[in-house]
Amino acid sequence: MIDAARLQRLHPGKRSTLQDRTLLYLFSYDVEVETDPQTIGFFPGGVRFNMVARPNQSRAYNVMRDRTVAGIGVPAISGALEWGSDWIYWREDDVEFSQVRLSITTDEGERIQGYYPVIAYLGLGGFRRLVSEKDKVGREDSPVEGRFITTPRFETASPTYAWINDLQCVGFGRLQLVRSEFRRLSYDVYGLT
Amino acid sequence: MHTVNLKYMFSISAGLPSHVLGRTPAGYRIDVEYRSIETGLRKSVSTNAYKLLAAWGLELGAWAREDIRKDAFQSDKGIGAFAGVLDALKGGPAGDAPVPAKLEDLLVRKITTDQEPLEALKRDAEKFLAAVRDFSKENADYPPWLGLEGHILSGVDWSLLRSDGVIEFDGQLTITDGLLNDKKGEGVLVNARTSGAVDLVANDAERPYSIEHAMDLWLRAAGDVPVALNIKFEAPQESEPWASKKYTRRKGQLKYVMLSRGQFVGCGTIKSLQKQGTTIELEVFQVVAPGKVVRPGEDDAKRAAADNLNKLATGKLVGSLL
Repeated sequence: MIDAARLQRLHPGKRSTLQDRTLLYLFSYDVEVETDPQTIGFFPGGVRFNMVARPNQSRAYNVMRDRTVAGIGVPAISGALEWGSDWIYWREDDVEFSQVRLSITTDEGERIQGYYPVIAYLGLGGFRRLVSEKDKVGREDSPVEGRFITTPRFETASPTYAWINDLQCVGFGRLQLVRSEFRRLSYDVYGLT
Repeated sequence: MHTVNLKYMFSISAGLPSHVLGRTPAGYRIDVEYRSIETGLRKSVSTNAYKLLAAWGLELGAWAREDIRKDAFQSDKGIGAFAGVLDALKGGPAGDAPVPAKLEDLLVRKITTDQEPLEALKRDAEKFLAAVRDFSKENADYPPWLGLEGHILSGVDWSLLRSDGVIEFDGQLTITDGLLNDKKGEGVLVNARTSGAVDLVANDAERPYSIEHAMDLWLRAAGDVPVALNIKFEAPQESEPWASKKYTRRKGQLKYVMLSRGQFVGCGTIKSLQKQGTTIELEVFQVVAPGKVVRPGEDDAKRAAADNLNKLATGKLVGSLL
């Protein structure tokens, strides 16, 4: 626990409080992943492959089924993930770097694009375990779940959803692995306000 | 002044359907898709044998031994025809003229003097490349550049049309040298990241420019638009022995290693065709900076040798490599 008063006494004139920040829940989405990724193969420092979302099987929705975003009163986002792709680089030091692009079509037919980098820890020895596939990670009946945090930004030309153009977002993601393969990704997206 | 060489690698021909997301505060967002188009026997990603030999012939000639060439042609006439190509590359029998930018020009000149049929020469050139390709399968860890033939597996570009009429490209393509519907996953995959800025309103009569006018030009694909894109490739390298088949299964996966080790540009044209809609024709070149690495402390003789190699690369000196 930070003792702000003590810090102020020790370092007078220096800031001793953190900047205010608030997370505002915006929407969630689930991504069903094509089981056969486009594998480039070994690349200096790791392995590269591309993953694509299964079309028409991935959705964006509000977990509470609210019609507006609580707190700011703007229309909530609900629709289909029309397209999504992830260019992945698993590094030998057990860290994943990837670049995601996606496109959401809302129930009214408006389009919202999103893009973000992902940095995720694969676990101790995770790179070798996943690439060797000797000890396959996760089963159909009990997938292994990984968690990660992303910083998405969204862009739209729709006046209804124009509010999202101005937000820096944070995505809390969960990933399900079955037999060392990505199966489903779920994100909860918050706006930093 | 430094001379920069552009060495031909391969060509891309793709459909370019686009979907306008709409006007955002930054400009018009346009989703562009790269789609494989096959015309006759020509694949969406292909290599022109003439241009490949014009760019790499000297190195291929130095690399390939006489017996490979004999095996390739299996006739004196074939060897003779190819010798003509090599002479052309060297700048004629005297070997003192600069290497031409376009081999095709020289071949045409040769045809007019020797009455050599162009198609026969082309067949010989392709035969030679095939023989080197076969030889390199068994005898070389890192084969020389022999082109790329394949398809665009997937490709998208998140373009932004700015208010000054310039469109910014930011795309990602995946190229396969296997079949387009490669269910067995036998093709070698190469990622390509493209970026660049293209002035859509250059030489346009309308002044002052408006973003709507530029958008209209894009939608109507009015005329041909020259493009130059920066391309960064990611091609597979040597795999680890412990890796699963998924990451090592593709045969000849080192063929394209060179693409990961240099700087590349794609130059070409975005065209509007009545039947096919908007298309893009790109030729991909390696940008070869002049000079060669000289380590600190290396003596003058080595530096002079490096200078000679530089001259060779820029076509000013043609040695007896062939």
